[in-house]
Amino acid sequence: MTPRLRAEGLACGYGRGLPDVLTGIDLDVPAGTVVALLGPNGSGKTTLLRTLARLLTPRAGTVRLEGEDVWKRGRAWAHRRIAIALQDDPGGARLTIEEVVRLGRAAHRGWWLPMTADDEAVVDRALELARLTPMRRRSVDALSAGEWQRVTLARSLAQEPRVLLLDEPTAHLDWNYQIEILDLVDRLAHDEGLAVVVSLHDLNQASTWADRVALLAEGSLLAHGEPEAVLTPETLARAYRCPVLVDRHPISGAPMVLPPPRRRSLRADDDPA
Amino acid sequence: MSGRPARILLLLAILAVVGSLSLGVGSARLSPARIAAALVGEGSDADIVWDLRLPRIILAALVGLALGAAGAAYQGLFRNPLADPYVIGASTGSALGATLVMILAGDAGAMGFGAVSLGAFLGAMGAAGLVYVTAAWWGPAPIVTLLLAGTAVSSCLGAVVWLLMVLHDQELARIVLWMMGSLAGRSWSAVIGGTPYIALGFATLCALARPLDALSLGEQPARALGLPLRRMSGMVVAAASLATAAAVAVAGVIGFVGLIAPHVARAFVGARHRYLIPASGLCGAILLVLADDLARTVAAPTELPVGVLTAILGGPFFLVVLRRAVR
Repeated sequence: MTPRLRAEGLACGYGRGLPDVLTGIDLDVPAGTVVALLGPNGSGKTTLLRTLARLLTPRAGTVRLEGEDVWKRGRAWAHRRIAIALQDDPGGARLTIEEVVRLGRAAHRGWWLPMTADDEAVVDRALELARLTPMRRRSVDALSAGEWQRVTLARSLAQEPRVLLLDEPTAHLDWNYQIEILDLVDRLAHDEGLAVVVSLHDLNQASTWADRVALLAEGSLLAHGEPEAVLTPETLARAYRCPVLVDRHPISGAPMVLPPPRRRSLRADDDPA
Repeated sequence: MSGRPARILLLLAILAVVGSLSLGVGSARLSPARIAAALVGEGSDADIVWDLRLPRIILAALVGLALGAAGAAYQGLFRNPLADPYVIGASTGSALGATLVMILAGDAGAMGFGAVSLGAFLGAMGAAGLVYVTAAWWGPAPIVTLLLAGTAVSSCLGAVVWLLMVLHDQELARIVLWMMGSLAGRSWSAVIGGTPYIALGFATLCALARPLDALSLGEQPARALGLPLRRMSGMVVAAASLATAAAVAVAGVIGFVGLIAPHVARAFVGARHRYLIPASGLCGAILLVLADDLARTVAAPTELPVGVLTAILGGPFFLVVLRRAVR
């Protein structure tokens, strides 16, 4: 079966004359799965997401959605099917939460036609999924970083995408909100059948919530597969250039990545004084 | 939701009342009864009301409408609460374009309204486009950076206008009056000449409401929503510049109306451009009609250029908004 989203031999970069950020990326994202995108800062996670979302023209290779080249189909075609929530800030926009989420419908309704009752229903559902309904009339100016993340996610959901790309949706969030967002991502993939690619900083979140993990480092896809196969001490040490320990989650058995012990605490054990 | 169209109608009603009362304001004060009589063509004031005050007030409203709507559009496009046609240099660009046409054509009167307007439009497009491209090239720049870019473009273009004035001193008085912005002595021909351009610019900006909402979120989110960024931002710049240029062509450079009006309008109808653009236009119209009333009376029998007045009143407002924006 064709995967929902497939990258083939993708090379990405910015600006003429500058070197590629990523080369030779082959990635499959089947429907109903969560793929976590990992890698150190600057490894190209956001660049890859932007290329998959048809915001950045690849230097080589193709992005296919259900077999169709997204660059051969038009912009409108792609954005009705692929939604991306990048890290940004509300900036000067003084719109309300629901006004921002309604903009997600522009992918389907276009930029001129009025919204229909169907559109309103989709907006209501997106607000509900992101647990924003009680505060929908609030201005986005006065939101916390976590609330804004949920608004951005709801706006993407209002696009009714088949592929959802999320750039560090748990950044700047408190623990409870991180779990809430990841649980929502889990539901979207496994109950609604979306193909989700989510970039994460936290390796253990990837291990817990992702079906597959893609590890970017040194300008390419260093490893790609199930968390058990990718989150090994050797692979992680190579990607992040520092030693790591990998243990098991006491209940699920999923790999859990731990930092090595502090030098000072080792010395304290050794020293009889 | 139903509240916001009602509020826009309220602004329209306020404009109608302010406009009607303004008919009585000027060197000869007229009571409402005499205005009413004059409007139906009775009494000795009919000429004053019909030929002098009515076209002038309608023109003030049109220019205010254009500047207010353009200001709201620029503020959305640049994601900057301090953008307005004057601040980003579009007004000065218009003035330069129009001045160039006047001087190159020798006798501007012979060339007619169209050529000066076209010069003003190209000047406004050039200046606004230059500032926009600069800002886009710099990436998400702090609020003050855009203002400085606008100031630089504006000073530069303004200096060229002054240079032209020095080189062509036979046109000096006319250009000076124009750089200060004034509605004095405008007749129906200015109303008729300016209306199509202002109407087109205003209607286009109203139609661009949803793209402007997306643009106000920022370039990346707008593109992620599937917005054809260059085409839409180009249309916004063109429509806002058309409105600005039409306003400058008939009334000269009038600053700060486009800055203040959207802030007042936002308090009335919120930030969604579907309501904000018309409301900003109406607020701009009300503001400029009131400012022109002041300009006619505050130093009577001398008339002040209304552009000088709006600058005196708008400067402090600008500082207040700046303080809040960079806080």
